[in-house]
Amino acid sequence: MTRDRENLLLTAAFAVVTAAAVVASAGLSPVSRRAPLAVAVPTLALLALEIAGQISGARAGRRLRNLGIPGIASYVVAGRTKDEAAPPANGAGRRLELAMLGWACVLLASTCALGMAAGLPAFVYLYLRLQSGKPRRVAAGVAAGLWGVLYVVFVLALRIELFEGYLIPWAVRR
Amino acid sequence: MVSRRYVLAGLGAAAAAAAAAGLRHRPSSLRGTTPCGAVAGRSIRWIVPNAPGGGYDTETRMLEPFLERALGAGIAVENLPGAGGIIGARAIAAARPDGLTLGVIGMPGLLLAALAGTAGAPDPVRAFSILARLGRSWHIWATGGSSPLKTLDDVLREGSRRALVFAVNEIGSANIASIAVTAELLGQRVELVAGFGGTRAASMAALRGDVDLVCFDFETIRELVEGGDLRPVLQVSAAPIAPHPSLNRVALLGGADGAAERQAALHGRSIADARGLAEALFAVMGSGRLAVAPAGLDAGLFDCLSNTLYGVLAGPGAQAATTRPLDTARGGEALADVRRASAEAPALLPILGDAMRRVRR
Amino acid sequence: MMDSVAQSAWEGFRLVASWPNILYPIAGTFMAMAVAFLPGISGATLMALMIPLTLSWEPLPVVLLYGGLVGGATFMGSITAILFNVPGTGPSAATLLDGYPMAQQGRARTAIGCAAISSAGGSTIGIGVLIALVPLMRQAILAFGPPELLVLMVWGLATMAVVSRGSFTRALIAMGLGLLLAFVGRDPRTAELRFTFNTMYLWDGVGLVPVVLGLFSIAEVTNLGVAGRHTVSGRTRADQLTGSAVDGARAVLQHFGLFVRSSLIGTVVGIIPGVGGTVASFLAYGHAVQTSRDRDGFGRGDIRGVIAPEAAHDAKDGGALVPVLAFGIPGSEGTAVLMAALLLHGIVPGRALMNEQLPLVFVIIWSLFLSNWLTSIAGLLLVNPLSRLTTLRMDVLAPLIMALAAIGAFVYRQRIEDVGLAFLFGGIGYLMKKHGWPRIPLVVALLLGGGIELNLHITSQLHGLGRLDLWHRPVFMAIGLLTLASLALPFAQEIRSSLTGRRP
Repeated sequence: MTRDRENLLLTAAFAVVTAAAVVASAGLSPVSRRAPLAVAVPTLALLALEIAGQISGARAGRRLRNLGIPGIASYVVAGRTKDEAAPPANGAGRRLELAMLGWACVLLASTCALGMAAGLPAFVYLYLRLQSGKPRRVAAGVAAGLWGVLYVVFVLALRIELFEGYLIPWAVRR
Repeated sequence: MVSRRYVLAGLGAAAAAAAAAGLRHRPSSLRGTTPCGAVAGRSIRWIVPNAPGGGYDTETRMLEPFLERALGAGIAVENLPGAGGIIGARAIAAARPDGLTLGVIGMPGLLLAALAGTAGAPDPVRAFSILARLGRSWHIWATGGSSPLKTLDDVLREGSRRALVFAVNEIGSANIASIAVTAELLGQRVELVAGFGGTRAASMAALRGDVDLVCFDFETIRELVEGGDLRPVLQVSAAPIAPHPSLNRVALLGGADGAAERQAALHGRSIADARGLAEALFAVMGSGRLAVAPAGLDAGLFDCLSNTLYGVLAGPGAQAATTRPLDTARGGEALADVRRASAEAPALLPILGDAMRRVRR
Repeated sequence: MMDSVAQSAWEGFRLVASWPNILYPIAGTFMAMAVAFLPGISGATLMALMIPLTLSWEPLPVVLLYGGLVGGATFMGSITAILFNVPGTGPSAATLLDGYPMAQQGRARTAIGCAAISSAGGSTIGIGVLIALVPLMRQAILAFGPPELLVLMVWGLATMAVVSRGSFTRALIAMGLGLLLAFVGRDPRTAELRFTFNTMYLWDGVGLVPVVLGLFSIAEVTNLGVAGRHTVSGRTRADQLTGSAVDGARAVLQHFGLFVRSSLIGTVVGIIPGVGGTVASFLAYGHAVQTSRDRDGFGRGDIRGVIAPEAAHDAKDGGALVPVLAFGIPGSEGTAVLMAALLLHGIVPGRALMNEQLPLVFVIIWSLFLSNWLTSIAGLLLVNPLSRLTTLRMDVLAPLIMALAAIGAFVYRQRIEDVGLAFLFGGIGYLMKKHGWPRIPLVVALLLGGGIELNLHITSQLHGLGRLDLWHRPVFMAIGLLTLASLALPFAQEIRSSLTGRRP
């Protein structure tokens, strides 16, 4: 997917969410729906402008985003600013993006399954071994260090219960 | 020879299993009797439906050392705020009834949620084993310190000319029921201005004169009353709420000579009706904040926990430790109160429904 | 009156500085620093946990300890914001906007030094205002009602929209999305559930902390991973880092006017019960951007973007004591717990405390003051080892930062769903950054949206009932005019420059 297409998809997703808010507001009482509608309708209009601008090309987009209001030009810049530099648009960048998405899923899955106490150190260990290519000793040491910090801070010092996961309590119950 | 790799793997697996188990709080060594065998030496998860620092949380933490000593178990306070206390209540109700998950709930809020048919709210009568009552929250109507409304008679006189304006936190909370039903009994029209960020913020509105009245639990606004910033004009109860000088000569809503019955005739309501409605309100509001376990607790364990908790709450140590007076009762008495409140609560439904419809216009 | 205030201030100072009393705020400070680097662990949490442990203590050590806990926790949240883009607490979120880019440029020492001095100095100003307000505390608080809160929050929101870099349309869209997120949950005016999709999780709305952790921390880790950046700072050795704590301290003096104004913003916001440090930090940040001639550096490592929120954040602590001491009304979550602890030990905040135990009031104040300075000094002493963390390899740091973010998201409300939410917004934040969508307006709108709606509702309802005369509320008029002026200023500058043919 090209960058422009990805941006268009993101904008469209925002528009869908905003439109859903408009629809969902219809079922609320007048007091409760006033503010959401007052925000969602103009936001939807601006999103339509933004989408039109993206579709019709950069120059037209600049004119539309400028809204034709005098004095506003300095606040309107087409596209990204200089330091919001995007990662490389080539295949390597896309692969890395998918890898990071995958690791986020691994973190969530291990936390939900094993709880934070075991799941987070397990995630750290796997990331360091498989993504960063670190030796076992380093990965285990860092993971153990994380566990140690969690134990000292949450169990000993604060006595705050961390999320215990779904798998271990289920196994214990059985 | 066993390879080093397998030894390390085995140790690692053992360490991982210990890690997951090891991060549950373990009690420090405890002295004293340990009467409830199933929980002795274990860690009890005590669920509080507030964020740290909230009312029930502070009270629980004050009682924690006494509870640990009496139960012979560690107490790990777990804050589960949200949805007006329903999140915490659901967590307690859904836990295993093994004595290792206990907590505190605000029963008036749960009763009203059940009455309103709030999705997800646990059944207040059937979902819990009620171990003891910690206390009850009785409301007062109060005006600002510099308000011209100094007594209930002033309020009623003003109320005969226009709607009385109340500052409230949140529509749907227990004090809305208190305001709506009390106003109905007194024959008053009220305007509810909701959205203030808390009891104190709403009280400030009364102080400033932006609103006429607030209606809150007396203990929560005691400091403001003692400082003269708020003036009680009505006790929403059948008997004096507390032996406090600021409540001397403040009218009572209920009782034989209470405002409800006095106003009944003026507004075309029979005294029996007024009394019934007032008692329904007091039953709900007086159901109190309760120490509970999930339903289905073993009978022996229930008796042990209930007696132990009541012993702690009724003891001089706990009474001295807490800042709110403990209006304690045994589990059985508290359960009877809850059942009565649950049976009488439907009498409040038409009034609450009407109040909700008006605020949503 | 002022004589008794001065006398009480001196008596309170003597009590704090004496032996062994001085040990308590020191202990509290270091305890808080030790644990508060983990996101979500705030001073309020620590104080709540200390309640059962201090039950048998005398009131004086309790008060001394609690002052230390509040001061210690605040600064540590800024350290993680600067070094790793992970805000330790909500108020630290504004610090990361420029603090983290400074770390990325190898200037972590300057950022930390600047944060240390700004926070200590801001706290000093906040406490100074608090002391000056002792005779006027009650009037100060009563001056702020729903109309005043409304215009203050509108000012914050409008400022953010106008000063956001990039497309104005996109800033408005981001703000609109943030406002819609703010409306999720139970509407306190009607008890209706809005946009909750029948889930109890969303009853209390979308949490600010998971959203900020996602939009900034997780998104940034993802961005660094994808861009293949080896370390946070781009340097692998400590001697390659530039800047120093002294540079940071000097910057505060160079921008002294901004520092003072930000401290005053924080103090004023702190006085208003229930508004909080996050609002103070973002308001100060917006003010810094708006009043600067050269704005392009903000969000890219402009040191003024660290000075403003840090000064406001810590100045707020002094202001937050005002409603507690004057009325027994908590000005913040931390002061709510402090109040509970005071009540527990028989100290009743409010008029009685102010009239009869003024030295004890100053014990609280001096303890907080000492704690803020201790944390800043400790931060300055640790600036070198802390900044070295920015030379650690990202392939080791990345999973730890993700784990930290997950912990912070969970500890916030003890809900595992918040962890999922944080990672969802991590993906959204990454895409927003990639395609040039501003994130700050979304965050600020989420922060302020609920309060704006409620205060607008209360104001219009009370006005409709004839209970409010807005024309005779001086604070409302003053902030309202300030809001209009700050909205008009950029356009006026732009029009002037187009007329004169010069860029602003």
